[in-house]
Amino acid sequence: MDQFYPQAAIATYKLLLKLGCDVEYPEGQTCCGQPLANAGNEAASRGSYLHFVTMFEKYDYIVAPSGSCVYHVRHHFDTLDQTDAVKKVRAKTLDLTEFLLDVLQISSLPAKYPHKVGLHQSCHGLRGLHLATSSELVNKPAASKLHELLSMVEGLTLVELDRKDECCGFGGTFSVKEPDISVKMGKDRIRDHFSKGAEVITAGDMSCLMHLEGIISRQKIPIKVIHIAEILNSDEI
Amino acid sequence: MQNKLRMPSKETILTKIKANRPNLWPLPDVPIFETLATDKKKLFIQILERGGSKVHCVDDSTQIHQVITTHFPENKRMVSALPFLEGIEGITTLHPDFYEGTEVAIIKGLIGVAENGALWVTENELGNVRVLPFIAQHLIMVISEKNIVGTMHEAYKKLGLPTTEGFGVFIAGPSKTADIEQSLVIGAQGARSLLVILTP
Amino acid sequence: MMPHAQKAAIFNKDEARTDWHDASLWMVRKKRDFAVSEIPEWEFLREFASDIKMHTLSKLDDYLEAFEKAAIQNGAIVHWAADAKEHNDIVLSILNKHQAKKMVKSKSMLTEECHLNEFLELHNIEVIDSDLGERIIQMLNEPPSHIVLPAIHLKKEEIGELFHRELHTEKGATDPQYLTEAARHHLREKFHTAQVALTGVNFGIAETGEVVVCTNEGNADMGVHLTPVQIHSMGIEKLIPRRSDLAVFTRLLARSATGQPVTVFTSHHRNPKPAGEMHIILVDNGRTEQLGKPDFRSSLKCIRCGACMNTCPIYRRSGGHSYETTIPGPIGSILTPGIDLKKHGQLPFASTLCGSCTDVCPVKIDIHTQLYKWRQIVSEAGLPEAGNKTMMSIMGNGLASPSFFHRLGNIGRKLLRLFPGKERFLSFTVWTKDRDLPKAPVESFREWYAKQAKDA
Repeated sequence: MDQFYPQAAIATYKLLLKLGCDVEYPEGQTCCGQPLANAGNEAASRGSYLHFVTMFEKYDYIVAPSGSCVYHVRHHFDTLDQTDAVKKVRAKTLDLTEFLLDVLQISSLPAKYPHKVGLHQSCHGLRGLHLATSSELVNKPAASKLHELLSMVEGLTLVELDRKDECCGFGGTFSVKEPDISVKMGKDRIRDHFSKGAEVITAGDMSCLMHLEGIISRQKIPIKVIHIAEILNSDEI
Repeated sequence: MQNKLRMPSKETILTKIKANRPNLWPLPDVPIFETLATDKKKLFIQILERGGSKVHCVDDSTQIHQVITTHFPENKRMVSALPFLEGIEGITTLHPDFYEGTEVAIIKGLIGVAENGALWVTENELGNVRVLPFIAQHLIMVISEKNIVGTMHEAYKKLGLPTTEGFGVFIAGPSKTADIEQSLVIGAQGARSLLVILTP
Repeated sequence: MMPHAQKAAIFNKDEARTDWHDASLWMVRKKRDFAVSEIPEWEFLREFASDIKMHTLSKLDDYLEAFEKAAIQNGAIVHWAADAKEHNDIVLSILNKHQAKKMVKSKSMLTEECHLNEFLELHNIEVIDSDLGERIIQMLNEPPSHIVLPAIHLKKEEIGELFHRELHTEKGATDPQYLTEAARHHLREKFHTAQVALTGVNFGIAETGEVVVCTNEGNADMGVHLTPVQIHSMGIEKLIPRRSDLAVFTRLLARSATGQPVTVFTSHHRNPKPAGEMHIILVDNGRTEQLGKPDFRSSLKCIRCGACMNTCPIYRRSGGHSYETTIPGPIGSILTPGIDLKKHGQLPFASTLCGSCTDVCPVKIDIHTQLYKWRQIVSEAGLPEAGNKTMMSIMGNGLASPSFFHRLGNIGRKLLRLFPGKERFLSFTVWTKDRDLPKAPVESFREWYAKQAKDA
């Protein structure tokens, strides 16, 4: 996101400032280590785990506009020695949407985004962080954090999809290990959104959107992708 | 050449399990979940019909004969394991092949389960001809509505442990398959239809 | 490219067919969703089922002995098979004892695992798979592509053609009703002429010695009740302690598998028919090995419902045969690496770790977590799917070092700005076959942040 989608990070930063937070971006940060760990190399990621803890242990909250990174820190940093610093970082690392609703407890946003939007439920955020109830579960509260935040945005309409929470097909190294299925899954997701009239697809994870955008661009489909942080920070009329 | 005496597999397997099994995990007490439906008979009928069965309610057992002949022509071979049906072939032999060619088999159901339309029978209700409900082209099961329970939890509670019956089965409809392109076909290898006659 | 990916590439060449396969299985998932919504206590049932199974595994030796004792008391003959070979030998010995040359078999993934059919055929035994889907693939000499819906990958035209050849149905006939009727007559004759019948076991009840078989077609019972000798092959993990526990499992199984509230037949076999024989074969074949793995032992809770396959977006778009295992899909991908890490270690990578399988599993196996954990083991073992270990180590060090990380990122972005579309690295080529790379912005977030901090 730092290199290729800075606008999503900028929107996150500006939004948090707007909501009265004291926000810092530790410039020495690198990566949560998820890509290597998911590829099977937890051992090789240890360095980045420790670096992450060092970088962030002094903060009250660590907010990331990325469900998969947050999931990785909270769930897979269990392989580190659970020092006080590690425990604190794991507990205080939150996805942007979690932070907005559970910590700041906002009930409104001064956001305007008059477009038809398709919500893509990124898997790690959905089933890992329970940002919403996945469609497989029964009799659980239907609350969806992304849904709730988008409903605060003036002018925005959400389209109704055929498959509300099917995976986009990125999956980290999966995208190059199984390229045919990866692309097919992405194509199918895009078709679902596009056929329901979505002008833009949004999600809480840039990796999903990057993958979908790659297909959209190649196939020249008239639909865009945008990170949810940009919508929540938008004042477009 | 001497062959080493191989430990019987039972010992090998049990030894390996003892070495590899996890620490004791407690066995839960499963509550007897009941159905939320207030009218179990209505739910029973609804689920049976949804699954492709027919249901016919009678006011008393004397009407059963009439119901059968309404649904099935009399010139076809019928076999009944019910003690009280006159004029219909009963169980005369235990040779299962003898029952090939049975058009309609009539048996008694002991317990009905509303949530899934299943009916329980044991070999006692089959005249000890275990193949009877499967080999017939059509099946009729007679059950009292008093014996309808809501869920499988209630059914197994009512059943308790087996005593002497060596075979029992829950039957929840006519045999079926969707193995060809997910197209539902009613009447696979067993009965092509199930008619449930509900008595008071 | 790993074998699964190669097969998936071939599968996806026919996009219309992939869409058809995907839609068929998604439909089964939707039926499952409707069926489970009818049970408000569904999530509690899953928890109970998981606990019952874990408890049983923690006392599996005691329960197996109790089961054997009860079964013998009932009049059944109990055999123990350490592996597939022993299982097959036992089946053959029973057939030979009765001079039987013809056996009907109902659905049993365990016997698929043991390759029983091939073994028996080598010994001149005619084996007839009596489940319609199984019979179809038997005639085609193919393995099943799904553990519940073995012929889901076949179109009715293909089945029609097969039946025309083998069963002399009308040429060009594709109506499922008509084709099923033809199979019914064909199999009836087999039931009456077979000398032995074999079934799988869905649940073995430790307290009563019963074996419980759940079917829809009636073929298992037709086989068992028409032959004097019945054999039930059971994986040792199929035991549950109490008869009453069946309430939990019968409410979970069919709803998860096909969306029915229960299978048409739930048969409880306790003793042989008069003048008959009932054999139960308890099979290990790697299960005790899996039991010893703390991270993976809970995969033994599996009740073979197939829900994980129906919900898996990768399975739907690649088909069961692409896994090259007896049990494909998500559950297959956590069961088989323990059997042959070299051959099946690629399977945990055929997943995006989306977690849908974990959510549908009626016995709450944490499938996607186990996939992740298998990846660590595959990587430790230095197998190719996990990438070059040295490279990974270098990358790992790089990711932990701010200067390296930022320099690498900047280089990558600047290269893309200079040469959009002229990528040379292998992984980029794989990406760019069907996707564009992201557009590279002028400045990174770090650069923007540093600038605005300075301006402040």
